[in-house]
Amino acid sequence: MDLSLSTETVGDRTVVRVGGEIDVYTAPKLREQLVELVNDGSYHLVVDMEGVDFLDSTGLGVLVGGLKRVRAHEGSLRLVCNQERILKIFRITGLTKVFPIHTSVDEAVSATD
Amino acid sequence: MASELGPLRPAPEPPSTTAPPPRQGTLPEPRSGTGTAPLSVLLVEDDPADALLIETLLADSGLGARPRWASTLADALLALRTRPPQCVLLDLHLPDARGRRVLAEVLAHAAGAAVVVMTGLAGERDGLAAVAAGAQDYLIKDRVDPDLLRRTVSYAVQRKQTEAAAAALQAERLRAEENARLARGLLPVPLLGDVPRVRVTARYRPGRSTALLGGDFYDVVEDDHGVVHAVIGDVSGHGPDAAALGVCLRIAWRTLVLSGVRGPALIRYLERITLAERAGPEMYATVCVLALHPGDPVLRVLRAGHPGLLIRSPTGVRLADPARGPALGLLAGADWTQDEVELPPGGSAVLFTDGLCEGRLGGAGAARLGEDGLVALANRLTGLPGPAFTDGLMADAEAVTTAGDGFADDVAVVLLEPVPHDPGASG
Repeated sequence: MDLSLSTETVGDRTVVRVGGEIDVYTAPKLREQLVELVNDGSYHLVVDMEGVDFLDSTGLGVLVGGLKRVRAHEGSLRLVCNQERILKIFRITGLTKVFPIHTSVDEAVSATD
Repeated sequence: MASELGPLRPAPEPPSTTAPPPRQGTLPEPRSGTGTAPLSVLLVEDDPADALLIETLLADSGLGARPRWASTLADALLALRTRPPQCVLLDLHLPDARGRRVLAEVLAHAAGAAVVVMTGLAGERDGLAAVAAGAQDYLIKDRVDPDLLRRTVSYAVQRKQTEAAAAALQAERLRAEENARLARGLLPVPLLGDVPRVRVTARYRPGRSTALLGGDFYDVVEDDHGVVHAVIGDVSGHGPDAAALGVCLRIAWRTLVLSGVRGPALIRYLERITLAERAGPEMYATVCVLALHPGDPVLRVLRAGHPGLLIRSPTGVRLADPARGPALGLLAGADWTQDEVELPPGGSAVLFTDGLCEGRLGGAGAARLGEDGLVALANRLTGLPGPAFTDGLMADAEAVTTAGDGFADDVAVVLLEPVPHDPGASG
């Protein structure tokens, strides 16, 4: 299956819109995108997961890796997700305690810690 | 064709239609394997007269080859990159490089192509040296006739193909051995007493892509007090790193259990091991561990980011969702609490990894089986003995995936059925 990615800058945040399936085959593409953004100096990321149909353990690992990368620059990685199926994965693995999860891109972009 | 490359020129027409006429004394050979595509040959030769000679010989050889011609090493390398031939006929004396360097460069870029070196009359020794250095064969230009050329080129191509097939086979064999070794480490023989207190049915299925061994693991150990401990786990990602961490965590769990470490302390140790042994910061692991005390229907369960477990009774199956903490390797300072799940009389507990319910359902959209779907499938198998239930559940979960193309991820399932240890006592 395929993964689609697009990015957009909103203020000091970079929104990464992800669509499709994040699995062992497509996760490297997402990793590359996140690494590239951090290398280019974007440390405040919002990953919009509304278009994600499936997320497996490799995909979760890539998000965790992304979080560690931005944190090294005192940045942030926020998620936008309303899908129960995906939220459940974050809850089971305990990642709801790691990622701020928002209901909309607007909310994530204006959120402060 | 030939005109795609700079110094190349169109190959001559087949000799039967135009001059030059077939050489005296050579019988027209049947085309190599009637109906098969002609051999693709790259001729690397700076002398136009020699090139014409070889082209004519090739035309007469019956190989059906229309060579492309490169007159410098640079052009030859470009041709190898853009349209790899099956055979390279190589003169070692070129305007931009000579001798061993030419051969080394061409061999390095030839990929699957057979390389046949062409030398002059005095070049027999160069030819032998070229073969020693990796060329398939050599020809002495002034002694070549169409028949010798045909045999040399065909055999060289055939030898090269055999070599490539043997190398691929060897790589495949090594990978299979490596997978088998890791699989043995991930999937052990349960360590139970002489009179087992539980019947264990364990199953493992690799994902669709067998080259990617996953990190699913399980283990079952009975301690000196007759308590049966079980673990199932899943390392994120696939491949040797995930499998190696899985093996590591299983052995660590077994050692900790045998050393008497229990409860949240055991999970904290596994967390430390995960952090210390993982190959990269993206890796994490989920585990579910349980303990079954003799004569006690209550399972002690600890979960770290892992799915729940199925509880079977003689009349049905439900999903138990006991308290859970985060997966191993994700959160600094995380903690876990033990929970209890009651096993009904005559019941059994089924641990599984999430690959079992991640199968993509048929039809449009990306719907997955999910835990509810899994419970529904399991309930259709009520009443079957443990092994038949386990096999049936895996088969059914796989069958509902799109076109039955199998599990994408690894799947491990462990079913634990207490057996009354002393049938005369409480039953």
